[in-house]
Amino acid sequence: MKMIKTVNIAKIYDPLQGPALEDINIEVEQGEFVFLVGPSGCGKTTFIKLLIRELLPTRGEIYISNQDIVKMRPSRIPNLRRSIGCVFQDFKLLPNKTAYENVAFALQVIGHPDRVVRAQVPEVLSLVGLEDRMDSYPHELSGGEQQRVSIARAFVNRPPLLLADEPTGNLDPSTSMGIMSILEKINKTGTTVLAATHDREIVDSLRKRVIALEGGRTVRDQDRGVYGYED
Amino acid sequence: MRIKFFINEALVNFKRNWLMSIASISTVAISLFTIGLFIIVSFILNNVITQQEKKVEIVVYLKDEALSKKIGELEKQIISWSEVESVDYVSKDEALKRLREWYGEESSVLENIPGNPLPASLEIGLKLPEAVKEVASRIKMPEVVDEVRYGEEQTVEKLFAVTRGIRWAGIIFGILLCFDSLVLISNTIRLAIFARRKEVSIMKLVGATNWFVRLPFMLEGIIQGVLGALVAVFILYFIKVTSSQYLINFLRWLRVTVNLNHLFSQFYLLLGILILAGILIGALGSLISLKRFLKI
Repeated sequence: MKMIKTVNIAKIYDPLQGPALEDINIEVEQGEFVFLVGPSGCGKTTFIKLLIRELLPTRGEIYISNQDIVKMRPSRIPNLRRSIGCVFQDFKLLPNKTAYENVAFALQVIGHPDRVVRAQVPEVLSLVGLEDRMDSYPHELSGGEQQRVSIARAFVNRPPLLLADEPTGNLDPSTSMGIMSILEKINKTGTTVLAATHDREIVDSLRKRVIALEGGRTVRDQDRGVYGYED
Repeated sequence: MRIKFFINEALVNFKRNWLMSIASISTVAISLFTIGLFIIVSFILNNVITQQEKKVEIVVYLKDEALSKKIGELEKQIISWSEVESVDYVSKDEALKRLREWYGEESSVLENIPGNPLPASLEIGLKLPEAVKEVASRIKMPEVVDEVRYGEEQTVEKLFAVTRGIRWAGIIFGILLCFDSLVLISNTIRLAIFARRKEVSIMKLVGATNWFVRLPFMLEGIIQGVLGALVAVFILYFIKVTSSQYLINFLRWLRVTVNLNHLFSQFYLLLGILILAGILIGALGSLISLKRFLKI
């Protein structure tokens, strides 16, 4: 089954500036691990925002698990987002909630009872190696720890798809490798992972499928690829 | 279980955002207190000026030798006029009693006066105080009537101009006050929610429905609204308890009798309304302020 399929999508923010994305045709199979690479401003973040319907494309069709999400009724959007785990460069943790509560929130949103929350949250937090920091608030955690909380939140309800937008953008190289190995671990459980990044070292060392964007267009799509830019 | 979650969420947020909570509570408290005080003051003022207006009446002093049969005839005649609301007979004894009350503690000065020099009278209340001159001129029965008295026409007109002015000023001031309070409170709530707009967007991005985001915010708003209203109510109650005796004395000194029992029975209704207003302000304020941040 195709996890992600986009047909000729284009996104134009400002007609005077030209499209942020154009003619994007990407297909991702269930269970794949894909890197989306390219310099800043090439449209990686826009592409991810389109996949969770934070934005609508100007043209084209987007399918997630064969659902047309462009024509989707707004009332269905929360359901779409529950089936997609999302990891952001700026972590997007709720500042007034502890690590535990941030992860729990993703389950509470779906309406899981306390019993499930109490069982699942510690398990996922120990998967990302934060079993000792459960009661810390985001501002008490390092960047790498915050990112691991956000991965735990994205993964706690076992979504079929996990999107990561520059997950290591704010982290140092060794922490970054740790984050990537967690994403790889998650991918091994069968979750499809799409990670946007401009971190050459990581892309080159993991040898996954690489889709390269440049100026809003796909310029390369290769299996077991490398970063391939001089930046 | 869901409800428990939302209540818990609201309480926790309330505590963890205590600085903003205090801002909202104090704004609601100050606004509702001012409105409450305004309502009480205008209630008393309205009573006072209504009474001043009612004081515009005609007093017919009767001759001591007038026959009670004749007096009864005059009374019947006057009450049949369409402008007249009431006719009350005040006997000589009653007039003296009133005078004693009027003097209050100093009434001993009256004890030196022999007999009762005060005349009996008819007090005529009017439906249309403006018609006072016309009605007064119609009262003619020389064998009974000693003198007909009413306020000077100009004085009466001035009085009405003043009371009308006070009423209008009160209405305009009241509207301004409500408008002020609404702007002030909604700005505070909007700021509080604006400070947490990122939180709202994060909730939406992890798949929360709009109502899932709204409910804790609304509950939080209600808690703040109720606490604010309670502060206002507490201060108003404190003022009532400590100053009602001064108020009664002051009004007596003004020679105005305001039905304070009626006012006090309404007092609790007013407090209830203020608390209800706090709930509504909190819930609706949050709901409206959230609207634009939910569009993700």
